[in-house]
Amino acid sequence: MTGTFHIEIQKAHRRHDIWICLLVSMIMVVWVGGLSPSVPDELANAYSALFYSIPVINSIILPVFMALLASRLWDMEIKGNTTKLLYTLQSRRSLFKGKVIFGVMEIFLTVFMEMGAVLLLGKIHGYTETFPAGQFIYLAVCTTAAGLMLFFSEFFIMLIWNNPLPALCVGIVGALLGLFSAFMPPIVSYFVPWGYFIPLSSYEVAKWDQATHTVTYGTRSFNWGLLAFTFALAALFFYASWRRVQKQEV
Amino acid sequence: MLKRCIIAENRKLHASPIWVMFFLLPIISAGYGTFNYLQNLEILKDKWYSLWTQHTLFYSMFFFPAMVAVYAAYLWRLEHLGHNWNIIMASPVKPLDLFAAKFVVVAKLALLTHGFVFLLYTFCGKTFAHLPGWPPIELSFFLLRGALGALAVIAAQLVLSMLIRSFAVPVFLALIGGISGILASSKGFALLWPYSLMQAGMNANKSKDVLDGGYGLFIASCVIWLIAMFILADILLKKKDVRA
Repeated sequence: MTGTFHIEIQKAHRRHDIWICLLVSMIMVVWVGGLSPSVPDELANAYSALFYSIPVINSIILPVFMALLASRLWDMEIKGNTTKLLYTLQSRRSLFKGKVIFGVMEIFLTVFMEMGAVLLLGKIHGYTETFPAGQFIYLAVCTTAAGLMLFFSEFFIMLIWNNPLPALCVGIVGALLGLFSAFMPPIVSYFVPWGYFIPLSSYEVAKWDQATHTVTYGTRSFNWGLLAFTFALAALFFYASWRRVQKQEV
Repeated sequence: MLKRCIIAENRKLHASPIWVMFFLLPIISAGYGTFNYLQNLEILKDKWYSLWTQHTLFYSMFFFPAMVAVYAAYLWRLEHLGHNWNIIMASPVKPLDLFAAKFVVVAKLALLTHGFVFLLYTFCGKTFAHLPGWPPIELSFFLLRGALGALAVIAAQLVLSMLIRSFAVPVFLALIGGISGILASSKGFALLWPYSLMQAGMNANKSKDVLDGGYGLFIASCVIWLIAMFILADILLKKKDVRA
């Protein structure tokens, strides 16, 4: 396992994937930081506002980002036409394992940095709301689950077409659909996997005062059913990708 | 020679999968925009103007740059494959002609997309929203301004796709560019950043015209960014040697 992972690290040399992972959390810091609360009332509600915003931002950025990760991993084999050579030098299982471990590590890294950015924003802006540790962990798990599901679905698309274009197009169209589903009746969002970050979120707008433009956030119960379904979808796409690699004609 | 380059670039689009994107994205945007407009009639009272904001808000902010990036990355990907880069660098064509030809083809696609967006907007306004009359002439003017602002985004994306040999990275950077455009606009720097220009031109999220009285600066900014990107592309293509 270490060997296959090490090979993928060598392939990623000068690919600068870490900077791209960092870019996701940086964008979140800049975006949410630009809307940062300043008055005491807002600071007392700041973590809630942040935890409400992050899934919306994720639903815009992460479908395209996951398509990027998947395409970066497999596109090098397409461009170099290396699969025939690789399959004679190593087993299909070891190649697939290396790619999957590397991709999953990148997703963990992205989520880790995004969660780190949450803590950083709280410190920088001096949020006065009590830090919701349970919600924080739940958000991290949900972001990881939806990220994995999107990554494996995009990886599967890459394997089918051997071209990054369909994967990127699906990512962009999916992000658009996911964002739109957030503003539609809640049931619609269950049919749009690219936007699962939003129905998985445990924060909602409890009250919006149109006159003063103030928003009060509330929480709802954790959506364990959808979270389990997201992991199941991720597992399904993982299996479909593995079968594709097994059966692939080179 | 430029004309021949344009013909060659056009030929690359034959039976290309990017046409799926060309049709799908505006249709989804129009479908959602109309649905949202019909759901919020008590708040959205400006008829054609309100429908315009719903149709073009997310499209111009996030997804137009990404769509243009796909067009640009697709055309450059073909040059990055195999030994094609060596071939184009060794061909008796001025490097800037190669860039300009790709620019013309992507601009054509972007303009067609804009036209399709307006067609869908008018169709949805008449058929589903049952709006009286026809869209105000001002809105087609917004569309033209948006197209002018889009030229800077197209040139920027072509430079990125030319430099970065990966297909996906420039597309992701375009999405980030769209977000940075929103942030720049919110801080009042819309005319200083190419990704804000299209958003400002489309006037997608404001009831009053954001460019009111600032047309000269807007056009100057579009032209300056466009020229800057062309000069940058020319320098890079001349200095960047063949990479076998």
